[in-house]
Amino acid sequence: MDNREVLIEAVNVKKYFPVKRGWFERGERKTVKALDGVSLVLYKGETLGVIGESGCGKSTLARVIMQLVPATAGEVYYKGNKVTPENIMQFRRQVQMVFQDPYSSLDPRMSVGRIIEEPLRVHMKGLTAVQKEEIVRPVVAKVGIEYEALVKYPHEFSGGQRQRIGIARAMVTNPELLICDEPVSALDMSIQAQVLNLFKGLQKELGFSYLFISHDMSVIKHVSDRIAVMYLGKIVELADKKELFDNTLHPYTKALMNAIPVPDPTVESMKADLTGEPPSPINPPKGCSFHERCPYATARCSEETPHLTDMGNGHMVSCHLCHGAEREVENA
Amino acid sequence: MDENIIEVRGLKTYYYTATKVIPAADDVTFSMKKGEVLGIVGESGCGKTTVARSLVRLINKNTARIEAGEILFDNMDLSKATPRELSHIRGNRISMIFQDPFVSLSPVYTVGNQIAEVMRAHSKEKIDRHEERRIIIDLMKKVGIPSPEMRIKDYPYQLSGGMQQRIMIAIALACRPDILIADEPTTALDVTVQAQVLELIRDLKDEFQMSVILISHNLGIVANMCDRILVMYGGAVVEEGSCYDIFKNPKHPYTRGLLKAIPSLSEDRDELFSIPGTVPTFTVPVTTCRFADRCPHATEQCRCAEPELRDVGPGHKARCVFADREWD
Repeated sequence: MDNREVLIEAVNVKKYFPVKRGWFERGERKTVKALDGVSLVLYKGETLGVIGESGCGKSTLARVIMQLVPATAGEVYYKGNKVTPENIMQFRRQVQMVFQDPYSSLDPRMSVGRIIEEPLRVHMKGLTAVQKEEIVRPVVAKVGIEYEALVKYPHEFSGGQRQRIGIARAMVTNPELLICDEPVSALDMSIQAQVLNLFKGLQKELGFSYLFISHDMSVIKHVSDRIAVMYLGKIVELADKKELFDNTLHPYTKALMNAIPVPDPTVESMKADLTGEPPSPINPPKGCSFHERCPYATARCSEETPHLTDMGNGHMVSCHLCHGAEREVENA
Repeated sequence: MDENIIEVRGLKTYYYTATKVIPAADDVTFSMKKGEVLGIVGESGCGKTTVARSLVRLINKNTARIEAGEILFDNMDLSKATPRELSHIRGNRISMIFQDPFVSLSPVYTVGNQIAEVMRAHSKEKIDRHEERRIIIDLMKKVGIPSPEMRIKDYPYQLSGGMQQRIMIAIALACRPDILIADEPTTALDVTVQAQVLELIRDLKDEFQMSVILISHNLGIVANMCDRILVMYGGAVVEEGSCYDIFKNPKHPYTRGLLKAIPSLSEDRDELFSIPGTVPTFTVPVTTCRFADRCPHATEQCRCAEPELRDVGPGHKARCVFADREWD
């Protein structure tokens, strides 16, 4: 397992955003702990899915790894080398990003051809028009856009096609890793399936690795090899897909899976196991950040912060109940 | 119990743009029984919201018009009702909750005030202030808001998304309506909160003996909530049936494709089935099967005329010439 090549390693990454202070508010400046000590490893050729509810820090994680926002603490390594402002250009050529909203992530005043070429103008300066065409032509063919359509502008395309354009733009520098931040959540059901198939097909053909972020468990399950579950700025569970689904450990992951509506009237699903909503990341609860909503919480959970611990087979979980002998969370 | 509470016959709502006429709801016919949950599913632009809004005539007069059809509710045709009659019905007998609670609530009034507003607008006699407060707190309790005595003075921004949607539900239920129209009520919410809010709607439906029209693009939600389902595509109802029929015995190729296109949690597939092409926009008059261009089974016959919505089983209708055929 460990002989796989490590592509990205994030070590104890933290990102705190300062909260604007009102005129009369004095005292300590408050911060939003969007990421509070996240460590993860992404292997070459795999898809690591990150799932969590809004505000859990999954998009911040993508942005910090891309160095689009500077981390408050912690390091990101790419193939063993620390990513620094000096080597950032090289890093970004290898790691590209696909964004959520295919409407706002494409410049409306640029033709689609220019949009797709733009990474080449940044990362491979001095290419002639012919050389650019040689690179762009096969890429757009792979994502299913006609080369002749590149003179058009983004508004002339539908949502699904725009997302294909976004993917083509991320692909032209021939990166190793694509960080996809909710790439299908703005798309209709029938289009979503097309784009998911495209992602999988490209991976098979070109060997991309993906860091795939979504709030939709069925999408995450479809694309991922390993899945990380985030809650309030922390990874609470991380395991291989099969292991995570067959042997769910963390009570939050369980509740999340039970809450998903399954499109089958004969299956009982969409159970509201949890009460309340995720607490504010400005003032996260002491101890385990999930203890206020956890049906199994004990006194220890509100005092002591659990750490992500390997339970065997690379199944990491951050829960006192799973760690100790007092493993009461039955496998329902 | 068997009486229809609302009956819609041949509803046509068209949108007018500078150059085109778009049939957002084209010949939509359905009826709903008391206590029933009717689901309307489809992708964006299929007309599901237009149908719901047409029921209470909440459509923009400048761009859209109800061309034809009857909406029979309580011996009245809502498609021809006067504004005065309508305002007596909206929020009172038929109320609606919308997708995004934060934009639906007014930011400058307390939530208690906004619940009171509906009651003041529709009650015949003046309610005493203390009595009003008691009713509001009671309602807020019913929709599961903790410590309503304190929350009643809160402004919407002080509440979380799930709590805001609960307030919207409280407003909608304040006058004990016969029909609740929920237009994508949980799309803006997280899954764990979504499960809570939908469970609440289900419980309150029984308690208030309402009928619910649930509009959603999420097939999972409809499967869990609805008794009967309308599947819409391009402004037309393409399939109508019981929840079981739609999910276990779908007859229209669009419904079948849609069900296959959702990644499944229970099984692993390498490749998802996908419906080719994109959702087209139609203009009046529609002379082909709306799904023909994307349908794997389409023939010449499909492109000659639009098929009728016809019976394919007890209480099960589909708009497809080949609906009787057994596919794969």
